[in-house]
Amino acid sequence: MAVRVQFENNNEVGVFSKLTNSYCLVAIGGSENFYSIFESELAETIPVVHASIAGCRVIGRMCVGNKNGLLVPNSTMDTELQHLRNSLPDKVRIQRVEERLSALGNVIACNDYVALVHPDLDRETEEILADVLNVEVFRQTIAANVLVGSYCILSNQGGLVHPQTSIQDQDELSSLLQVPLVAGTVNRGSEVIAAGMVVNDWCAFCGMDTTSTELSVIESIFKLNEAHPSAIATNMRASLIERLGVIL
Amino acid sequence: MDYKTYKIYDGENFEDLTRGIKVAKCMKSPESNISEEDTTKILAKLEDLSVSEKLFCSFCNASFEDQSQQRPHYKLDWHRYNLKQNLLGRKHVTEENFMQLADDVSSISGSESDTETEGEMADSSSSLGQSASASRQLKKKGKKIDSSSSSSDEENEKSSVIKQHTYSHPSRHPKVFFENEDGKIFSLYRCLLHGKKNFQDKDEALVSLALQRSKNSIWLIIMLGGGHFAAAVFQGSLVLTHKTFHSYTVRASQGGSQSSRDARSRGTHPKSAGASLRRYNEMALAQHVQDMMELWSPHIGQCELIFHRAVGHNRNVLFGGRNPLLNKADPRLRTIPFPTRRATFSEVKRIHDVLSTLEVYGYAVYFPVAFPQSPRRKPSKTLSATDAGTETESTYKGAEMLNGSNPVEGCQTAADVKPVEKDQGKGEKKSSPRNRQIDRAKPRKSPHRPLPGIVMRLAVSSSESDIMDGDMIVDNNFLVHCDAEISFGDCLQEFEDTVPQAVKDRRRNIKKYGKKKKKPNSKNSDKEAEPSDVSRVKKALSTACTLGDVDLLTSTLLSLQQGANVGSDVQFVPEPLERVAPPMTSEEVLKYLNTPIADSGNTVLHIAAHCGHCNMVRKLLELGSDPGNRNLKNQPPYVIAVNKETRNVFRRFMGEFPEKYDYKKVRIIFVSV
Repeated sequence: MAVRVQFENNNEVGVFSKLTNSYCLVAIGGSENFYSIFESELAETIPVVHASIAGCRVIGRMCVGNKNGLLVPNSTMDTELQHLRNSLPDKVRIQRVEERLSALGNVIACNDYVALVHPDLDRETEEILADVLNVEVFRQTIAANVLVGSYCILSNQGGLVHPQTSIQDQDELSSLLQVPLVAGTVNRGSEVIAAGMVVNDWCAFCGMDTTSTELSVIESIFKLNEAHPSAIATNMRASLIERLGVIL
Repeated sequence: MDYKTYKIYDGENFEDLTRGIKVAKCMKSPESNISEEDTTKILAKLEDLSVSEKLFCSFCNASFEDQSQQRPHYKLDWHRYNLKQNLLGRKHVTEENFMQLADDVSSISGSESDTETEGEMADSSSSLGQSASASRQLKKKGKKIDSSSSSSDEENEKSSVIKQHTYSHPSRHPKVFFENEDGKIFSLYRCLLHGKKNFQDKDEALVSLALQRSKNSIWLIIMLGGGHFAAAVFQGSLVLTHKTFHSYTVRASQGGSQSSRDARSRGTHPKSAGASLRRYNEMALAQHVQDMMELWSPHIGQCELIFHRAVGHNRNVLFGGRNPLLNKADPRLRTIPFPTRRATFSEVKRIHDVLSTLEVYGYAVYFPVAFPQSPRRKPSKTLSATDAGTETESTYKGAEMLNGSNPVEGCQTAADVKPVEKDQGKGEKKSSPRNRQIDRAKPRKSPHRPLPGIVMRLAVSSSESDIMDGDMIVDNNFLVHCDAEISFGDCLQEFEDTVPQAVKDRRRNIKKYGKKKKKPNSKNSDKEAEPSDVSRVKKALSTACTLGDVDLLTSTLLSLQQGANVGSDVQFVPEPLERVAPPMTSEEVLKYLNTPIADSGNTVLHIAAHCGHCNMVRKLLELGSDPGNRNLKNQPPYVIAVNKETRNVFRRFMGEFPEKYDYKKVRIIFVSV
């Protein structure tokens, strides 16, 4: 299910929010509309938390995370970190990293298993990333852009990349990440995909400008039509039971 | 093919050029091509989404047998290096070559290398690449250089420019570009083809509209602004009729018209003579325009196109009122798609000239380099001459490389500036080096900026003072500065105890510098006296003061004056102190009385005062021990005197010998405490 939202008349919702499979961070805004849309969609399944990072509202670009953890830049204040720790589930690890490229959201794109990173990212950060988020890290560029975190968005189901990514690059990336990829846009042709939308395994939020074509691309690549949090129990039941049967 | 211009009313040439035309490729942006069918195609493709099985890295040109090989590859420095090479538009490096490179440079990993080493590496490799490419160019002279094999920076820029052009949005460009039979690109102003109301996007429509331009069409150009009016009717290149006039409507110093001023202050209109004059003139202008247009109505009826520029309230003159001069819905109406100057007849002629120009850019293959992205802002005048020079040069080079076979023509393409279309020409000239995308991944050296004057001076002076600390060099300027600081300390003296320790420390340091100033004077005379002698004398003096033994003091001083050895055998000479000694010696004695003799910076007077030996204090003051001297705690002797009697000695002495010491400084102390 993909939803169109706006943050204070701004369509770059990926900038003001961070959505993962185990939590959702939402920027503190002037009005609660943005928050309440997220809450109405997600509140039953995952915590939706008001947050700021380093005193900024651009949290989506500042931090990176998945269901296992959350990395925040070094400029994050202690109080903010404490708030995040208190609000997020206990199994989510939170770590502050000292990284020159401090807008972590722009330089890292990840799902729960793999991460693409900026070629210049610090080795240390790479290790922390692999450790905290429990992902395998690959250095790569997307359509000759080093800001992989801005120009592509990944979920466990699929990924959307910069519209000018060549077919060859898409194929290579897809085989590397082991998810299907498609080149596309959000917000009526915006190529800064990750700034225009957020996605997890069963839900996506994109800017109000997103066209219906873009929306349908998003829904099909991220498999949002059939997806809901309990999909694992229903879809995988057959295979699970089969496995159980073998063991028994 | 060089840049040429033709007039669209120039029949033969126009027909020659427009034979078999189609819309140029650069007009088609990939985004605009996404139509309904494409959408369905994309969606169909989305139906069978699958994970690719391609085990290949195109950046490194490396293939893998399975995933266990593939995955570690993306963590290698080799891969990372090739990513960077790719971003810079260079060829990839094979693993062996990279190993050799890596031997030269210790590490290129993100954490260990800083930008400098990276920059160096890039520089070295680029210089290598440049020499290689130079030789290649020699070989390939006369052929088009393949952009993928290019390795020098300039070529990269070119290729990126070309790449960018294909992705731009030329549909918003004020001109439409066509390609004719011969493969030449030429452009027309879009406003000649269609108005804003009936916007045409289809290629066929544009082509047919372009061919329809008959050569003897009648155009009307109207300009109205700032009280100026200019209009002319053209048939081909011929001016059928024209009219210009000016009336006083613009408020002289404030600007803006009187009517807009009146509209702002509702109700109360200025009643000055000027205001009413302008009000009248505005109305007269509108009336005049109306009259004239009525006179021209037969021409206007025949007009094929009507170009107008009338901004703000001037619009009302043309389109406002009960029966407007021009119908807003008229399909012949066009606005002028470029900036214009004051409405005069010459300006109207210029506009006609520009609009009727058909620009030929040369062959399509080479065109993207010269493609004017959009009319650029003029470069600021501060742009240095050398800068502009290099820019033109690089453009020239790029054009030459791409043209290959006929470099002279390429040069003309780039450097040609049309007098008629000044801004357009400039935009074109600049476009290629300016338009390139900013490559943020590219390592850059931080620019060297000279420090502003005052910072520079401060830095120099501070470094000088550092030197002075070490070497005790006496500098007049510096000492003057220090003196000021000392006097500041004196002013603070009455708040002695409230001064924080840090300030005290600082002041003490300053004090030291102050002393240093005096030192060289005394040092010369001091040189002969051995350090052991000095310490012995000091010891003797401090003993005398501590004990309050006036006799010991006088004897010590006397023996000093006579040059005898002090301390080893203390001679008892009860002779009163007479100034019989040569002047040099008495100076030396005074020095002993006025310099600190103990570790705490106390002088003999301090010690005597502290121990409360009244007669000793009196004697020392008589001998010339200055009560203004301070110890390390910045206290004068008076302050550390133990009892009132001792203090009274100071006071009485001051009363008796008001001239002896510099009581200006000391008096403060005496009064305040």
